[in-house]
Parts: sequence; C-alpha cells; structure tokens
Amino acid sequence: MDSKMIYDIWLSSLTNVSNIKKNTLLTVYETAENIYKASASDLQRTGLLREKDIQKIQDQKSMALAERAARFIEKNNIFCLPKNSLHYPSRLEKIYNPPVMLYAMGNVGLLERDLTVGMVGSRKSSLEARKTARQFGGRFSEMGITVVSGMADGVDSAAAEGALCGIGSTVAVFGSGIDVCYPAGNRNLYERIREKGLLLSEFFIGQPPKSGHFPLRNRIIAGLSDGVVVVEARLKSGALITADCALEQGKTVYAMPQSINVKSAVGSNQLLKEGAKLVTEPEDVLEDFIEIKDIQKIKPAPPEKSQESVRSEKNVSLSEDEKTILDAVKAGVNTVDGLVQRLDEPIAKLNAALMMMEIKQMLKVSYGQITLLF
Amino acid sequence: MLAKIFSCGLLGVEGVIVTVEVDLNYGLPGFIVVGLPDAGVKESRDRVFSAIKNNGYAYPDKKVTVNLAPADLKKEGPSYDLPIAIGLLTASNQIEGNFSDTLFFGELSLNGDLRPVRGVLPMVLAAKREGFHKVVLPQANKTEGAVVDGMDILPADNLKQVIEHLKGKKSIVPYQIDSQALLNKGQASYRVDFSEIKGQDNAKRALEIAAAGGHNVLMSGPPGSGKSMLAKAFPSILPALTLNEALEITKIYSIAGLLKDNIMTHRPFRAPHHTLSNVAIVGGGSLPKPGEVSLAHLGVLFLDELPEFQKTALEVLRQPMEDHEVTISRVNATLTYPASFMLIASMNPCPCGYYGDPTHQCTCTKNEIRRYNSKISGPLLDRIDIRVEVPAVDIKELESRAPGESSESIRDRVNRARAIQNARFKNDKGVYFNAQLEPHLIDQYCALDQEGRDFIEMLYDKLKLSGRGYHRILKLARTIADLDGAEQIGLIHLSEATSYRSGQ
Repeated sequence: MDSKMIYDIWLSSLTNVSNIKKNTLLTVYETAENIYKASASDLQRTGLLREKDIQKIQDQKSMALAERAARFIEKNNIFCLPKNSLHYPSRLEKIYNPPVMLYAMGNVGLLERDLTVGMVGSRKSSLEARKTARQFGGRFSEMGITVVSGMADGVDSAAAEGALCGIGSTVAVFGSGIDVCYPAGNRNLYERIREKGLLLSEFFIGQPPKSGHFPLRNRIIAGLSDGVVVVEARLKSGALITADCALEQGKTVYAMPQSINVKSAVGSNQLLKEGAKLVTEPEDVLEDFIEIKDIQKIKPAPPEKSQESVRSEKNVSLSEDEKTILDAVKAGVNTVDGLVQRLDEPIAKLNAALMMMEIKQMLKVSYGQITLLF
Repeated sequence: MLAKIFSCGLLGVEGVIVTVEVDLNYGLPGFIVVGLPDAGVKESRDRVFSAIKNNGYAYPDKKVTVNLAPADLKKEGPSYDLPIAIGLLTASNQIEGNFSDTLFFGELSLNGDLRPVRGVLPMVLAAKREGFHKVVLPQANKTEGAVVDGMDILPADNLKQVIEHLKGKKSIVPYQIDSQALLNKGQASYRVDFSEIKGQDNAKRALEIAAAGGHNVLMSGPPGSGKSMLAKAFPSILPALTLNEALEITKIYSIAGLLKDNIMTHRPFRAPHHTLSNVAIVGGGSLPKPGEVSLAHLGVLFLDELPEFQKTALEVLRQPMEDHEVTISRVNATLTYPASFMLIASMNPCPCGYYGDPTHQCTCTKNEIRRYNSKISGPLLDRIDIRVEVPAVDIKELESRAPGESSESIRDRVNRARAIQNARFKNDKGVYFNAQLEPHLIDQYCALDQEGRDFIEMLYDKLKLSGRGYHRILKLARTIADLDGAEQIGLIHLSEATSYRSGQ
C-alpha cells in the first residue's frame, strides 16, 4: 500500500465529519496528508470550518483506527480509491459532492466501462417486477452493459442477479461499510458479486447501514450510471431519490409502466407522467447511447447462458390441461378464482396442474395471483 | 337406624357412584357429613332441614351422621341434597322400602323444590353402567337424562312428589324421549352454508379435504378475505354426528355446565378470543373443568389471528393435538378429558395484513414479517397438514358470480371419503381418519406407484422437502384419492396435495 494512503483512510474514518466538509478541505489542502498535518489554528485560519468541526478532527488524530483498517483492507483485497487518485471513477468526478474515498472489492475495471445503466426499484416489489428486473439485467449484461444497483432486497437484487450471468456484470453500491453485507440475507449474492462483479462503498470499513446513508448511496448509483431505469417504485421510495439524483446530474431516467392499481408501482408510474422515458425492452435504453445499427452488431454472445434463457416454453413438456391453463393465463386470467370461472374445471384438477407448472418453474401462485415466470 | 341411598359424583367426564349412608344416633342433636365434602355439600344440612320440615315431615331429633363413600373422592356441589333427605326420612322410618336399584340426585330449595344440577348425562350413563334401573332427578334435567336408553328416568318437581312416589301413593311416570329423533331434528340447520361464500374455490376445496381426512388447516390472507366466514361454514360439511358421538360431546358440555338444550346436536365450534390463557385452553382450576380443547371435542377449534395468541398458549396445544386427550393434574384430582378436535387457524400474511395484496401497500419491513411468522413454532406447524392462502376478493367480481356448491353436496363427498377410511382402518385401533396415520401406517396405506415415486423424488430436489413434509403430502394425497374414490394414489393427487403446503 502507498504510504500516503493511510492519510486517506484516516480522513475516511472521520465518520462524524460530512463528505461535503471533507471535500471543502481537500480543495484547500489538496491531500489528506496535509489535512492531517494541519494544526487546529491552521484549520481555523481557512475559515471553512466551524469550531465544532475542527474540534472533531483534532479529537481523532490518532492513527490507530486507520492502521487497523489498513491491515484489514490489505488482508481482504479491498481496493481504496481516494478522490484525485488515478483509478477514481471519472463519472463520479463530475457529480456534486463526490465521495472522498471509495472502497471496492472485485473487478474495478467495471467502473470505466463504456456504458453503464442503473437499475433500481422497491424492496417489496411484485414478483412481476423482480422477474422483469432479472430479465433486463441479464439482457443489458449480455450486451456488455454494466448494471449498477444497490443490492437491496427486491428489484435491486434481481437486477444484479440477472446481470451477473453476462459479460457486462454488475456493480453494487452499499449504504454500509463494504465488509458489511446488508441485507444479511443477500450473503450469497454478495459473495457472487465480489467474485464476478464489483462491490463499492464510500463508507468506512465496518460502518453499519444507517438510514441516512442510503440517499447518499443513491447519488453514487446515479453518478456511476449513464441512465437510470426505475423498474417499480412506491411513491416514497429510495428509487425515486435515485431518479432525482440522476436528473440533477443530467442523466436520462427510464421507467417501466405498470397497472395503475398496483400500489407498489405508483411511484414509477408517476415518473412516466412527469416525462421519464417509457421502457418495455432493453433496446429502448440502448438506442439513446448507440446507433441502432450498432445494436444489431452487439448480438448477445453470452459466455454462459443464464437459467432464464434456458427455461422457455418450448423446452418444457406440457400436458393438455397445462397448455389450456397457460393459454388462459397469457390471455389475462391471472387469478385462481378467475381460472375456475373461465375454464369451468374443478378446482382440484386446476390445483394439481398449477402445482405441476409451479414445480416446472413456469409460474408462481401467491395469494391466488398467478405470475408467469418467463 | 341406618339408611343407604345411592347417588353419583363426577370425576373428569365420568360419573362415579357415591353411596350416601345416613345414621341416626342418640346424643345431642347435630349433623355431620364425612367423606371429603366441600362447602356446598356441608350446606346441605340447612337446605335438607327446611325442605323436610316445610313438606310436613319431621326432621329427626337425633345426632345425624352422613357418610359419602368412596371416602377418598372429593365431593362437590349441591346434588347430594336429595339423597341425604331421602336417607334421613328412611332412617327415621318415615319412608319404608329398599331403593338399591335407584339413583338420586338434585338440589333442594328451602320449600322442597328440586333444582337442576350439572353433569346429569355422565351420571345417568354411570348408573346404567353400574346396573341401576331407575334415576330420580329434578324436572329440569329430565331430557338430558332421558337421552340414555334403557333407564327409567323419574323426574320430580319437588321433594313431596319423590316421597309420595317412594311410598307408593302416587307414582311418577318415567319420562321417555327418542334421542335419535332429537338428534336428527337439531341437525337440520347450520349457521353458514358454503353456497353463501362466493369465490375462494381454493380455500373451499382445502376445507373439503380437511373435513374428509380430519386434517388441521391454517388459512393465511389479508383482512376481509373471508377466513372467518369459511371457518364458520366449516362445521356444515363435517359428517353428521352419530348418537354415541353426540352423547360424548353432551357429557363434556354437561360437566362444564354449558349445556343449553338436552343434547348436543351439532359438532362444537369453539372460537376463543386470542387473550385466553393456557388453563383456558387445556382446562384446569382447583377442581378441574374442561378447557377449549375438550369443549371442541369431535368438532372444530377455530383460532382466529393465530400469531396474536400467547406463545405458551399455542405450545400447550401440541400435546392434545397429538394424543387427542388432555390430562390435568391438580391437588384434588388428576383428570383426563377427551380432546379430539380439528384445528382451523387463520392469520394475516404480515402484521399490517396486506402483504401480497396487489391493491394495498404493505407497510411492514421484512424483519417484522419474519418476526410475525415466527410466532408460530415449527412443531405446531408440523401438526397442520393444510396451509392455504386466501386472497382478497373483489366485491364487483363477487356480485357477478353464481352461488357456489351447497354444503350438503360437499358433505356427501366427505361422508363417502370417511366411509372409505372407516373400512380401511377397521383393524387399526384408534385410527379413524387419514390425519391420524403414523409413519408405519403411511407406508402401509399410502404406497406410491413408480410415477408417484419419481414425482416425490423431484419434490425432494426442488422444494427441499423434509421427512415430515413428505409424510404430510402422502397423508393429504391419500385423502384426496379417497375423495376421488381412487384406490391407488396417483400423480394428480400428489400434485394437488403439494399445492396445500403454501407459505413454506
């Protein structure tokens, strides 16, 4: 590790000094080392900080914490990308209040890919939305586009999972320290992204996920992306914050349409009303960045096929009953009660057939709602 | 002079014959009761004194000793008033005769009127078992007593009628009823019929299977989806009560003092509030009374909002669900009450109730939902064979739909399936329906063909099926095949059975 790096880690360890103030200091002192070496009176003379903030910095002059973190960073192959360093992502340099430090695990090269797309959505999303997110994530990735998300439950995870299967891969930006897997239930995905994608966080090692971190995290997601796709969002949700950040940074916001009666999609529908670009297929996003004829060239050349694309209607054998059900569901009869009425079959028979189709992973029945899985 | 009269006490749900011995001695006039009487029995003295005096007979001017045998059984309540009074009159030679084939019980008022007592049915059944022929009891208890065949039930309004009957002056006419007719008459009506519930075909089918195989059910769905109504309609598709079953239920209600009519004509439907305590569930008290599990014997115990129940109250359910009876030990007695009930439970999918409902936004966090669901322990869930999701229904759609199938036609299918099961289990003691099958019996009765075995193997892979889950599916598939009238469990039965283990 670079001997100067320890000062950057120290600066990042000052969790009670905001990123904005750190940025201000950096504009004056240029390096973290200079900030560290500046005396209290020096800092005061700049007139940038209040007494209280200077006190905070003075209180934490000990390097013990930073040194411990440095050992941890080295041991776990974590990359440190301080602002102004060579590898600092160029997209972030342009945004307001860029993070003074980024911790990264995995393939850092993903940060400088030609085309990146942010995919965000509700944590408690519908099955439908997760399915779409996974499909889109997969398609983007197959075309070599890197998908940026927050690895939250629901849409974010689904998009990341889909994207992991292609060459585009995925970047997950955290609202906690990079070594803290949040939500804990995503441990498996966390490991897979570390292997094949990139984990990223501006927060100091070991920082717990705090509610205040997430809006900050969202500005990075928006910052790293060339466009942001909102898959499904409630009226008050983090996904809309990300969309706002993207707009402030002058990027295009895309949203997927959904039924106006679905409560978990009110926010994304609202975005469409306000002028977000409506997306029904990945090419809708792509055409804004690449000439259409180029799109034809980027034919999916997936190194390994995702499960999604292997499983399709054609290569699953279906009985007559199952075919009838599938046709009815495709025609819009998406409740069990509706099927009973439409097909006039005994519920016993329908339940048996639906279960079979569920085992074949063609659809999912939840509280009487049928969702097709491909 | 010594008189010996027979009466009856209660131990659990069974009657126990009590011998009332009355002895008159020279000495200071007084009245002593021995044989573990409670305060209610001791107070007999004053009621008996006034009742005898006010009917024109003489209360003996002697030292009275009353012994209630067997002396080690606690005696409670006022039902010994009548036998003590008759004993006193016999001992003092005001009545003559031998009453060794007659059982007496009843509470006396000061003017000699007979008041009803509780537990009449088990006492009359005990009398029949012990070889008595006649029972003298209060007028108000006559129908409950007359339910038992082959006994002379002699109802009396007051002490005077009893004395005149015993003296041979004016006989009491034995009261008779046709208990089967009574049962049939009462069974005609139900609170809610299945045809009143529109839609919810999946839940209805699940309940039909539950009724046919005696399986426990957990319904999960948002508020207002009709879970409670489905549960209330459930008794209407259960097989009709046989006379023996009706007597057994009546016995429990008679002891609990909850009997409104003379005989229970419906399977009980108990829906206790979720604040109830452990004791209220299994029964108890210093002199134990049956709890909700026993009051639901041969019927339905409906626990609405299952996760709201105290965790300990749910855990005490486990043993009665397994053993179909519950044993309560107290200082005064150790009693066993029958508790063979079907559990119908309902819950919301999450604390706010709207998880999975497309028209409402659920406001719960993932952790809240996990915590809510974890209130129901694994061992309890293991004993619930059917888990069914009940979605919210659209009012407009409801109005447009034709009425569903009636309870009566569903009940026909249930009865047929039960008949198949009765024939199958005739050699297996204590097994009446599929839900009771133990693993070794499952192997015997739920054999699969090759196609079925392949399917189950696939389930192991795809659903991470556990051993218990495997047995649950087989038991359910057996019931579904029985409803279908099929000998062999087929793929379609297995696959339908698998669909009722939702929420795993």
